[in-house]
Amino acid sequence: MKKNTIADNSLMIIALAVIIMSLLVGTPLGNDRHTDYNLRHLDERDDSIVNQYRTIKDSMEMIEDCEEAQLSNLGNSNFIGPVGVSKIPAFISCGLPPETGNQGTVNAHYLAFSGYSISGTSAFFIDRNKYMIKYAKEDYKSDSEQHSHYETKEIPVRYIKPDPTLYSSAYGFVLVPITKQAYSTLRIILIVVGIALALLGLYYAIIRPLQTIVNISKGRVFGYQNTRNLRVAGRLFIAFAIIPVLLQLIFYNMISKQIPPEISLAFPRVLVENRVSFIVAFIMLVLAKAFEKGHKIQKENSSII
Amino acid sequence: MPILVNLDVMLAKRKMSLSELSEATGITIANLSRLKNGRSKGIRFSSLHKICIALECMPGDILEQVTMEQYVKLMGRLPFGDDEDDDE
Repeated sequence: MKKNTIADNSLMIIALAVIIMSLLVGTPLGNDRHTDYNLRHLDERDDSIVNQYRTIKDSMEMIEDCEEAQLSNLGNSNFIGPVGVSKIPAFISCGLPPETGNQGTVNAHYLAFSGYSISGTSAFFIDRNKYMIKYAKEDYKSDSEQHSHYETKEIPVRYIKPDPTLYSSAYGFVLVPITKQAYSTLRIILIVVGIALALLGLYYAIIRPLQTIVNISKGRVFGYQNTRNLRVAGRLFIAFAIIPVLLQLIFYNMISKQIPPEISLAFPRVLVENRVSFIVAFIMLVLAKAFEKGHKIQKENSSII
Repeated sequence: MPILVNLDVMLAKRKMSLSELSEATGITIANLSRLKNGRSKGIRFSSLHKICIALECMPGDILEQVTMEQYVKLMGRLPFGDDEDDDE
């Protein structure tokens, strides 16, 4: 009993700490990019200088959009929490003819890690199938201002920007190139583990709490089974929220040598992103505590004559 | 200091069976048996009152405070509730 109490109290404190932290840190902001779509509908018969300028600007924006879309395209991917595999068509330099290095339908295979962000003064791009990063290098710093210049270097990993159109992707991904065979093997492992985890989650986090509701509706409120169901569900929700973050930290340490300092793990924001799980877990653990107490009182009451 | 229930002694003195006491008090035989064997955690004043009326005795005749050593010697085990895990 003491072991259970200490474990549950610790988990409740962790959950509460994360909930408070999420309130303090706030929600991550989306990265929305403004595009002037009015320029896409130009009158091509008008050959004035202004219209020519607009046409050039429009086509450059189309090229930029085409490349931006590829830089935020995760392709065909399978994920379990923060780790997954991804198959992405080779990068096409939009606006360039195919002979300049475009590879069309060739796919690249990657081991993917989520929860990363790139610094505001840096940009990732692909140049002739090489992964490049442009970053601001500080020249000197005075009291009032900082002077820097841009430098470009090749990096061994690919960065996928968060897609602003998707709710779930507040952070980017770091992709480590792997062979096609490794991709296929890892994909099968991820699918099998994913199904097993989904079944586990379905049973303990949904079916068992539903069983508790049925028990309560039948008048069996403070039973041992209800207490155990709630406690297990609470622990599972915490595990589903904490384990991905721990995995992120482990994988970050594993690949940190390959990642440039401009790309970093968005910690502790990734922890805060799972706040819903922590809130549900906290509520379930508090309920489990109340049910445990109720069960104890009921048991005591039934042994009084 | 545990409380020893002397219900069996009082029943023997009054030459009364457990079922007769059950009929007289309205308390089930199972509950009276648990009380007699020290398998209950407590007794309500109302139950104690019914038993005392039926056995024509005082509460002190049924309940007796003894030392732990005496209790273990007489009952052969620790008092109910002291030897079990409350959790499950």
